[in-house]
Amino acid sequence: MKDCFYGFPRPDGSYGIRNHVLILPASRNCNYMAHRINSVVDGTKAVITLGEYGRTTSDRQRLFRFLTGLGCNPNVGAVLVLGDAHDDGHAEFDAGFMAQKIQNETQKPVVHLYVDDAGGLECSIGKGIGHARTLVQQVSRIFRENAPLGKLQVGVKCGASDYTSGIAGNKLIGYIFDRIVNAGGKAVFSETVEVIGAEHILAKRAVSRNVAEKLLEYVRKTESEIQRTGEDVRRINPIPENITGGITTLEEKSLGAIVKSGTAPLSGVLDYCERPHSPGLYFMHGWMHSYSLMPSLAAAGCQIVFYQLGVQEGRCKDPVNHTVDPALISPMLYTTANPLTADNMQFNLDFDASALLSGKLTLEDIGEKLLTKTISVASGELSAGETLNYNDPLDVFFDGPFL
Amino acid sequence: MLEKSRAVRIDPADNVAVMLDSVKEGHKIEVIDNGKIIGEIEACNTIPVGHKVALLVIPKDGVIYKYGEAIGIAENLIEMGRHVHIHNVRACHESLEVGK
Repeated sequence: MKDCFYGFPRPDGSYGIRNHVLILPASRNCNYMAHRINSVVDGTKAVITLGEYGRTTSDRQRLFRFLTGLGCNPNVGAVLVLGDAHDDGHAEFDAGFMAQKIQNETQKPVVHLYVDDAGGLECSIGKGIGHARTLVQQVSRIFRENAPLGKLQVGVKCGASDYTSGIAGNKLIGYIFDRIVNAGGKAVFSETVEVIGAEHILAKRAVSRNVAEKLLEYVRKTESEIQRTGEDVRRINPIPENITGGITTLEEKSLGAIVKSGTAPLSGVLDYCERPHSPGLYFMHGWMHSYSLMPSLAAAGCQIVFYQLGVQEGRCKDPVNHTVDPALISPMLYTTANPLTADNMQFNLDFDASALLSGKLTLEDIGEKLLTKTISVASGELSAGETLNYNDPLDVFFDGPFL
Repeated sequence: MLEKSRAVRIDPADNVAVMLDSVKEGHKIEVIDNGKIIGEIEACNTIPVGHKVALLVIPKDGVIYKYGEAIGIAENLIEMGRHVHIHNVRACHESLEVGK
């Protein structure tokens, strides 16, 4: 029974590794309400929306997928959607429409309310608190069950890459990705800019010509958009910290980055916050910023995300001492293979993989240890970030232009 | 301070290895692949930890291989044991036309 975890069963056959009630403001006017309800009712998480106005259709769709995707994630047991008025503004950001969308996709309990119906802000906060309390009690009656490893969807971001990332830390995540995919699960990696320079190698791993083309198209589009702003992606990456750490070229950094995807064939290429519907390894078009990428991986259905760190000497000692859990509803595990980073991070590190770098343990040995840790966190062990009762505002990857 | 510094070769096709310890000019570097020592070279100059060392003589405009893939082009001849970095390597990418 090693390759199993204890998860909360959901009506659509998925398993949550957490059992949150998500407070979801359909529009920006409801952020305050969401925050107030969240601060009163234990067991809830509130997302703050950046607002749908003044955006292109494509950016509005991204925000819609971001918000509803978080609601659909198996780690969310029930959702409370807040809206200001019926049929006001963009149709897809109507609270009732969003609630219906989440319910149709997942069959989980979803309640919505409108400020107009409740009789103004104060009354709707009171009403929202009532709904949230009921939902929290309702999901608390769901108990963890044994679930196969293949019911997990994992995501990854690598940060502050240094020489240890490509040769050890990212390799370790690649091992976990292979294990999850081989067990029939899903694994998602992203960061389109970081793939530039290694896209031809990644494209060779695609299961079909269509998948390869889709990947290359995202890379081409991203690179030409960057060029239009007058920036040179080759000068942005590798960043000065990477160069100090020994990374010389963009190709080298990109190759080191894609090592984290493991060795499985590339089953598909997803748009930002798009959920994969069959098992396998996926690339998601996304922006490297943690507060955009981590929640977007959660919106794409990842129940657990890895943040694989490098961090060379001379930088901030603990690179994450001010950050908590940007995936909001999905626990994030900090891993590193850099012994100095591992020493410095102390309370914030979830998994020390430095024994791989020193050669004390083989990739398989340490990979299985990280899998055990992953299964434990999936079954209820708290990540370091989850112990802090705070969430930074999240960001969304928009293309603009802003209208 | 270790007598010998270590460097890791990631793929058999690579002509560079990554330093696990820093090394001073003239000191020996043990080259490791998959946990086994595969050779020993002498450092031509001081190389910091995490940086690359040439395992072979790489001619001017020769391809630098790491992860078994091309990661750059040598700007000048690089001797075995020399530090391989931005001072003697350019990206392969710069020679490609982008956006097609």
